[in-house]
Amino acid sequence: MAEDKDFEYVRQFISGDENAFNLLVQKYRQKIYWHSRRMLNNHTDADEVTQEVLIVLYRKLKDFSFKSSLYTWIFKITANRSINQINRRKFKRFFFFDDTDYDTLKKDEDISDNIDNREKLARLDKILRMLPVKQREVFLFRNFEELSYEEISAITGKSVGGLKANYFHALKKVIELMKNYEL
Amino acid sequence: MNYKDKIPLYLADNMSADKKADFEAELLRSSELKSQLDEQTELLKEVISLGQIETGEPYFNNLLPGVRLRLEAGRRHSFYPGLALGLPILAVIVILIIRSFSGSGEDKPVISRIVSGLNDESKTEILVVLFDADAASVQQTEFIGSTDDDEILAGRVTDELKRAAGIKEGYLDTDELINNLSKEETETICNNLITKKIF
Repeated sequence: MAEDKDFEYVRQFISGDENAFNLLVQKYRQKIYWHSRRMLNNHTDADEVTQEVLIVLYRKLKDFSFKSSLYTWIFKITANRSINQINRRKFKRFFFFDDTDYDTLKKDEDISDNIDNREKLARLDKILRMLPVKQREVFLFRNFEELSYEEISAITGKSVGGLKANYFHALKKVIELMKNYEL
Repeated sequence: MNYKDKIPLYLADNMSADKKADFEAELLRSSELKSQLDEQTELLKEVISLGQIETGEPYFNNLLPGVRLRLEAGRRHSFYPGLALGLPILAVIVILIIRSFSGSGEDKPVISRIVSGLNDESKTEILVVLFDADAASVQQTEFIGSTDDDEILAGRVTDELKRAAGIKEGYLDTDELINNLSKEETETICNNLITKKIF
């Protein structure tokens, strides 16, 4: 039913109803932000990716094929853009363009002013940062989006076997970190 | 295989039906295993709870107007397509020239240079020789990905690799591990490889 509603909004938007786009943004903005935030471990990059995804959504929605769910399509864009942002950051570091200290930056600008929330986010960022990108991605989809391996495979294009292997390693690592370290 | 080592596999819902039934039967028999499973489940729940914060309404409310402004700005400024391609290429060329004069990048770790030239088969061979592991299992788990006991073996191999290199926490994926080695770590692992006559 939720899928039908999404398709209805997409059709309305394609036929010129701008408000349908607003409704889609309202529905998906938090999911997009939080996935990229957990992938990128800082607000600034997550904000950039979220805006990029929404812009892509606006521009490409007319090409949506209705073959997969809108959720899968949006998460495909979000996952790709998040990984692109990680690579972009590595690229900038390689060419000396970026000497940003994200730990300092996070203190200045974040999604929440509440100290407890900031501390929780900082702890989570610290744990997730320890995971390689492939493991982090599958860990987030499994635990925060509660997706099946098949659904994650549809989003990431990776084999279910590979996803299972990465998730096992991620889980083992996260439990080990929680057990052995004061995070 | 130790049942305790299988807890992450169970939590990952990554066991065949037979193995899952066997594990669950052991859970009924062993209160120690049950308490370890409960402990690990709680730790996982704690991590998930860290990410479940309800916040950011002002940010989310301002998101759409910001996106609309960017879309509007994109429409106003006509874009010169040649610049989109030409400028980045020019920038990359200039930076590469500067870097070639600055001398940075000369210290690219030896192991990265060696390993980047290896195919998966050769990497497998290294792991097999280093740790007397079963070749098929290593190949399956390290480079293709599989389930159950193979993952445990892959984890063990990776842990051994880390131990052999004296590597700091944080790298689990073998490729990532190799690409992130520092110069000292590289030297240590190279010495190990040379001692074991792999190269």
